[in-house]
Amino acid sequence: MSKTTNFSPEQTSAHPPLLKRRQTRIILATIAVAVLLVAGVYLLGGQPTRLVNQALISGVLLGGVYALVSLGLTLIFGVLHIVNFAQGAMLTLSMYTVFMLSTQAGLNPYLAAVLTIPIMFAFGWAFQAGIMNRVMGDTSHERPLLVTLGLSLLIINGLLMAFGGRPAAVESPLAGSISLFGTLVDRPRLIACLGALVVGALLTLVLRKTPLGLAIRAVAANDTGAALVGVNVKRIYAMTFGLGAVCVAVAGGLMAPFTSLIPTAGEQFTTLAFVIVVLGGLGSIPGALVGGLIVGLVQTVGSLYLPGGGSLLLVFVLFLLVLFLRPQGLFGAKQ
Amino acid sequence: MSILKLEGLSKSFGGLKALRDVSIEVSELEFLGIIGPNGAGKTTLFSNIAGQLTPTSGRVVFDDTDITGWSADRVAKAGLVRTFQLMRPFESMTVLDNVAIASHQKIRSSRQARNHAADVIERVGLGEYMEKMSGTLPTAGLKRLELARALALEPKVLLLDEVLAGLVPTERAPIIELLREIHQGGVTTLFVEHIMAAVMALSERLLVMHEGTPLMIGDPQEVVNDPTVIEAYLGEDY
Amino acid sequence: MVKILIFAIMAVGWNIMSGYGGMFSFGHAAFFGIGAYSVAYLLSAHGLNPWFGMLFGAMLAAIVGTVFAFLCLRYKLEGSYFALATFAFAQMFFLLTENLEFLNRTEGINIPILQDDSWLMMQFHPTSYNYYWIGLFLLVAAVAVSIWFVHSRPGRFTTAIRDDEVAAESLGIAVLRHRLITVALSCAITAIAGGFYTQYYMFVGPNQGFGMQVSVDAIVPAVIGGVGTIWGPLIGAVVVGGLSETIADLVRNPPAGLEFLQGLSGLDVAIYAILLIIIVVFLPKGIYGTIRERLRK
Repeated sequence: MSKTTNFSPEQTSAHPPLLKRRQTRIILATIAVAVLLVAGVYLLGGQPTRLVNQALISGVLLGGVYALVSLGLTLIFGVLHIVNFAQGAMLTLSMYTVFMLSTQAGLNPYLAAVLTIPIMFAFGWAFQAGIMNRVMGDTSHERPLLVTLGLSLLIINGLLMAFGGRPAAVESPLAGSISLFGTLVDRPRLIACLGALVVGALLTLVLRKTPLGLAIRAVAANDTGAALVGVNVKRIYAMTFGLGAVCVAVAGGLMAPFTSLIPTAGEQFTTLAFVIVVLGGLGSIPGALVGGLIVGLVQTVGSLYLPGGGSLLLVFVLFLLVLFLRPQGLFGAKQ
Repeated sequence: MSILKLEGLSKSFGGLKALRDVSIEVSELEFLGIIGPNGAGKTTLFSNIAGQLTPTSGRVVFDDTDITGWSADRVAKAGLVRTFQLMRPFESMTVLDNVAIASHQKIRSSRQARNHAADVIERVGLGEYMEKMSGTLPTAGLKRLELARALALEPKVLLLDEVLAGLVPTERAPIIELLREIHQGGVTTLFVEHIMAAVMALSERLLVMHEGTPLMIGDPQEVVNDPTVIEAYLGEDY
Repeated sequence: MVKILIFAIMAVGWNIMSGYGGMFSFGHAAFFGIGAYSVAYLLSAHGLNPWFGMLFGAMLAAIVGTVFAFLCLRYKLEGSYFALATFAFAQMFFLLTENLEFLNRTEGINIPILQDDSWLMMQFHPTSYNYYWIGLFLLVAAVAVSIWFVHSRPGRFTTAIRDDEVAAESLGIAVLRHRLITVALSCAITAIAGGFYTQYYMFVGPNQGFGMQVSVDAIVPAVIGGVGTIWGPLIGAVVVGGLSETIADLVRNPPAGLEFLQGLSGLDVAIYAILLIIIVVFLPKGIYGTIRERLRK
């Protein structure tokens, strides 16, 4: 602490790469560690193989969903450099939108999920353009954070007023299980995980190949510079927040069939998404995917040994360790 | 006798060598001017002496004590104080409180510290701004505030980093006069500056830094007329 | 009324670290909960006097907070990262209590109820004004401590560090030490609010102690009133507390034409969320901070 050169992880990785190509080594190392751990659990864990199989599969499926929620958070951080506290609440909002569309309008939930995408995009865009853009730009990071906190409280309690606290449910037409590697897999969960991968791929494609993606990456790297070459930074901010909301719209739509819908349903995802994006590196998209998988696996495999909330505790210990030892995360930019 | 001695001071940032083997002795009550092209390592030198940075190798000896690697606050308390090229006032505080923060290092009692700070503020000519919020000061006022805060620590050695930068010529003269007074009041001064008129007017010896290492040190007139120094500056505005 | 006092004490505590110290905490529930659980556990399991329990809780919170802050500062977590770390820290305590047998897991701890009122055991009939007086006393003490702190040498150094860390250090201020002092004081005051909470409600569970809402309750009054001012958190607590009481009344007995409000939950928080957003966007210095600035000009 004595040598205050006044840097923060935020500054060192101030402009984390949204996408980075050469991360093979980290990916390989992560996979190696994961394989070793899993092998350890199989061989020395003292648990029946069938249970471990089940835990692994559900961990991967859970991780896919986590990754999707985190994708939005990491995108917003990567470009706007703010932590969106309302990510979980926005997820709940999406799920209720799907709920409304499927119960009131009688739509197929997956079709409802597709319709939720433009709704949430508009919501995210309007929130950023109308409110958040007013508090961006000064050095204080607290004001945007507080506004998203306010939004989170507003959504949760607005939903509470509208729907009450009693759990609601969305019925999936594809409910049921299929058999995979000798374990039973809930079909809606499998769909959700696959959906997460598709959206992750699409998002990567948008960022890599489209003019909008180019502008977003430019703003993420250096907003002043981007403004100098004619990019409308505030518009990009709004678009990015909209895209971040799209991520939770898809996540919400895919998760609604297997989530007990209460206004606070998304809250735990805010926390988990924080953990995941810090783990993967705030602002890194592959980081969010890998981080999601890691957290999902830690949670399900950990629950073989620590029942109840114990495995979640493990996730937080992991989080603080990463924060202290490698605050830029697995895929964050190095100093 | 020497009050500040640098022995083979080096500092690297990754592969970049910002300071290379700097060895200088500064005698007590001396006024040492330091010049050099941009990127020559002048500010880095100050940061390594004053503890904002830790040297990669070499030693800093101040007042017969090895202070290499000391934290910045410890160095400042020991009586080696620096100012910053970019002014760094505590914006939420009045001018008086800004300086009292420094006075408090030596004086516990709040009232005495404020009295002490008020004296220093008068000395640097900011008396009328005493109760103003420091953020409202004009540039020249902020420069004086930086000096006042440094002086309130009652330094033995003062490291001044471009005190005159950003001032118009008419504002410079009174500050130069103030620096002379401070020096004559018994403070050894190291003076990094681009304004050559000020450097020549104040310096007793002149050090030229070039690419992180001392190019030449000696009598100011001789130094500025030396061909190697002129060559180092070719392309610069001097 | 007592609820407002608890809010206010917590906000005053939070404000020392986050307002004056510039270390924005999103996890003050951790320290509130430590205070609340210290009193509850020591009293119910060991019969320890709640006044001592409160002191113990304050000390424990100060120690825990200091260690945590030391780690954060040691690893240079700033800005969003610091906020996230504090947030996760509180969540960890939440999960920990839910899984610890001696803290009664998710059930929480009930305070043994006495037959008679007792100052010694800080327990009175639920409607007693004595709770009010104790709360008021604690609040006055907390405000007095924060006034004293702000004008003390360490307090001034803390503000200087918040304004410009590098300049402060170069003027001889030991940055880390003063930051830790600030954190310790802030955590201790917040823990006292927690201890008093337990005594007043005679119960604490993971949600009441370490829930995310608790951290929010510490932040919102201070932000609405004015971060980094003495009176801001108090004004904010009165606004937020008054608002939630008024709305609770409104929802219980809605006036004619507003019958649909009957029994509606969530309205109070929704309204103060809107208030929070409006204040942050339009009056970033808070109600008191803005008024003070206008008057100065």
